[in-house]
Amino acid sequence: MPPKDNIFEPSILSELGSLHPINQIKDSISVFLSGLGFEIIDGPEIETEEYNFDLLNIKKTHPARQMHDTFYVNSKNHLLRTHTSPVQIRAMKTRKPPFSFISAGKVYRKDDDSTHLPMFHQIEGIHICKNVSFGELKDLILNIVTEIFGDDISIRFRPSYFPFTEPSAEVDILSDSGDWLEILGCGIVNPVVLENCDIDSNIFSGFAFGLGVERIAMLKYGVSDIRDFYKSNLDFLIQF
Amino acid sequence: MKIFYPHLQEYFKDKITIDDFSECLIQLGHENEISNNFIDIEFTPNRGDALSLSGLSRDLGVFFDRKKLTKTFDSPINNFNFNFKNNAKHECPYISFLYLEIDNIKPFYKDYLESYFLDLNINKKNLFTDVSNFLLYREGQPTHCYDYNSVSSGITLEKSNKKEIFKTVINQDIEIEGGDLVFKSDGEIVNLSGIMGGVSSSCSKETKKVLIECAYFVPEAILGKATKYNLNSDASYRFERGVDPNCHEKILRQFIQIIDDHAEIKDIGMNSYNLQEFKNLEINKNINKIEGILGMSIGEDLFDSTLNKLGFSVNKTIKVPSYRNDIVSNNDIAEELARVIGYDNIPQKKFILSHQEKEKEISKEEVLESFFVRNGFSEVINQPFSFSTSESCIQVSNPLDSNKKSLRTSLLESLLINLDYNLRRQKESIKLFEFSNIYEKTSSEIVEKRMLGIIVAGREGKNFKEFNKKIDKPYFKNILNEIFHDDVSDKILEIDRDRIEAKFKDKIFFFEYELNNLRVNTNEKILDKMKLGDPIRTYKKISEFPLMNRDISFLLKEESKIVELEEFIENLDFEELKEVFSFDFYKDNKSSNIKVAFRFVFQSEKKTLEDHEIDKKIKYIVKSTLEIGGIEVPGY
Repeated sequence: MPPKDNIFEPSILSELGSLHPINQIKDSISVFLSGLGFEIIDGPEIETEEYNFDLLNIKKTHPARQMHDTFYVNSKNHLLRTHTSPVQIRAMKTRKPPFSFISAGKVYRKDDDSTHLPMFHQIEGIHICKNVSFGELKDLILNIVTEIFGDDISIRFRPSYFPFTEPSAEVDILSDSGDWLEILGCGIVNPVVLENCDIDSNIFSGFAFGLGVERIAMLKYGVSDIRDFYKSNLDFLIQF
Repeated sequence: MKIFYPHLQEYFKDKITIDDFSECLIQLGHENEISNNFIDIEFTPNRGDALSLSGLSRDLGVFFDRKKLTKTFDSPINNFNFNFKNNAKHECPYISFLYLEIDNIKPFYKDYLESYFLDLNINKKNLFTDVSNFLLYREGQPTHCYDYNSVSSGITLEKSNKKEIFKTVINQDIEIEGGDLVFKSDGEIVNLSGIMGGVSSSCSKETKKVLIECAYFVPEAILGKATKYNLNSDASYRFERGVDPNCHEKILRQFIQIIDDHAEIKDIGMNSYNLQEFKNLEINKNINKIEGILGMSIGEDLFDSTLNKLGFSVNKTIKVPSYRNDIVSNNDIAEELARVIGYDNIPQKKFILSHQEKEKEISKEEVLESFFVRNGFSEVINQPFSFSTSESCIQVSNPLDSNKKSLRTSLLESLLINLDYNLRRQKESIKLFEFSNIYEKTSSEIVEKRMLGIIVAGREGKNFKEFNKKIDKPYFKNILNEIFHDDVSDKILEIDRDRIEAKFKDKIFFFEYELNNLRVNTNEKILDKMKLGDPIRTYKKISEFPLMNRDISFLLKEESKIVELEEFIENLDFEELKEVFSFDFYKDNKSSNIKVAFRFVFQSEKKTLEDHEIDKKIKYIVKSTLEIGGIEVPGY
């Protein structure tokens, strides 16, 4: 029973509300990364193709740019950002390296089923400095993953493809059922992206990574249907 | 793409298990699953070159010794004089045609061809189409077969300049839009380039004279067209990802060889129409740079041998093979080496940021969320899509739901939906808040504002002090005044109950304000939030079955009995007992009697509970409390 002012009155059950579980996960990852020295930056959700795609080396031929993957708005002159990377691009174009940013927030893709939603949350990080290596990226990623899932977690890196990183990797963790589950993408920043942001790729290099917050929350809490996060059911929300 | 394991095994000298293939493919970046004797591979969009048996075996050749398998027709071939006009050289810079005239088709396919149809459970069509499909699986290069008699006057490749009807080989009428790439013969479309051929020029079992087209289309010319016409084909999938521009003679000679294995060839001719000679890309060899990118030592021997096995020629420069259109820089070369070394074998290097950032300041949102959570409010997150048709709304050009084709200009619409959802689930006290952006269009710009939205309705709280009080404007105003510097009560709106579907008699209040313009009391203690390493909490699945409430009023002879009663209630162990709270409390100072009422809320995860099931539990509660002594339960 909770403490009460008068022991001879009924207890007033603690009537705390709740923070949304997605924001709790998002904020806890942000706090962890900012503790390592990453600066939190923010930016608009309505973006241009230039910042969301072109400057990130996502060519016009990339499937993500098709109408069936991206929400275009305002007579197709703008779009709802498909990732938080344009926030980093905006910062990279105005700041001089070295720097290390994280951007977290809502992103939008034209998808809707039990594992995908048209709106979800991402946290992306970028570190630009001299002589940045894939080995350092691995160290950071292992640090993040063990912080989220504990020291006993099995993890693997496998090659993948993102236009803005090269080499690119996806990171999987081993579930209790023995399946590998993808949890994040990362890689060495493609020199084309650095040059697009007026950063000399002969002097500076960098790495980048991105996590889907809902994916982490589903694994951490055992929620099987992503849509549960957004029904706003009080019975669901107050559990977190 | 599904690969039949024995087909892949044929490319290698030693016996390799399907699990070993699968693991090596994952190390190389080809995610896959094994099902029976098939490996189902999901390719990344940059690896069009690997979309075939031959392409996969090239990649796996870094781990296993390959056999030379393919027999190729190697006799000289005459030039084929054909009337072809390429009016889209930019979209199709490399294209070749093979003419074949055959007779005496053998009644059975040789084992290597027969097993393709048998093992992959594919229906045969006619010799030419069957060979074309087989070559696509084996080599990854699409070829298209025209019945020569239907195109003998010549073929033109062009961008269509008007809307035209085209009947596909699967007898589907498609209206081709202007601007799309098509092959025409005698003014009629005979092939939607790179996607699907037409019925008018398709081959049949009777076809003896055939024209085989082998082309390279720039991916931009094909991308999205198959989806647009709902004609996704194996060919378009490969052209969209980029095929080898320099393989035409090799592929067409393989085509001839397979035909030669199955029929008598009476005439052959071939011609290539190339915009320019293909030149391999060369990248400066810089091992130090690659070692720097990966953060490990590689050495020249491993560097050269790995790239050679993948088909690169390594000298002072690295010559990129024509089928690897994804390799353009040293970073790409670094990835090639990393794939073969294995990402998990690249050593970690301690990462420490030398430019430490300042300690994070507490934000206005953190202050507000702490305050509202302490006061019983729950945070919600909603999607930005709205039913609104207001002129200031930003329209979504391609909405998922045609009823919600604008972006919200207020948080009210979504918060009302949240309220309605919870009211229909018998929630009696609803206090929700949301931080989110709204979006508006002015004559010159798009404006995004970060807002705080709050909606409240029902009882003030679930305890004996607040349960009998309904949320009203003064209550809401007091809460807001506690956290905000300025009086913002003029922004509290009472919302018409007709805006929700649930039957509800109480008042609904809404508040919305731009976060930038709110001044908050910063002495609010920030909540202890979850930390990343905190233990995992167990989440309980939400039941969609109805709640059943039972209220019991207890009469206590001494005030100390409240402690015993609460202890008993707290220890109740009913699976369906979801919640208990005291909603009424009265102390008669004359008699020292105390009346206290509790609400017991029941809900099953499996079914709708029936009255007799609840009655049984209530009887147990009453009987047990009476046994405590000094407690009466009026009415029981």
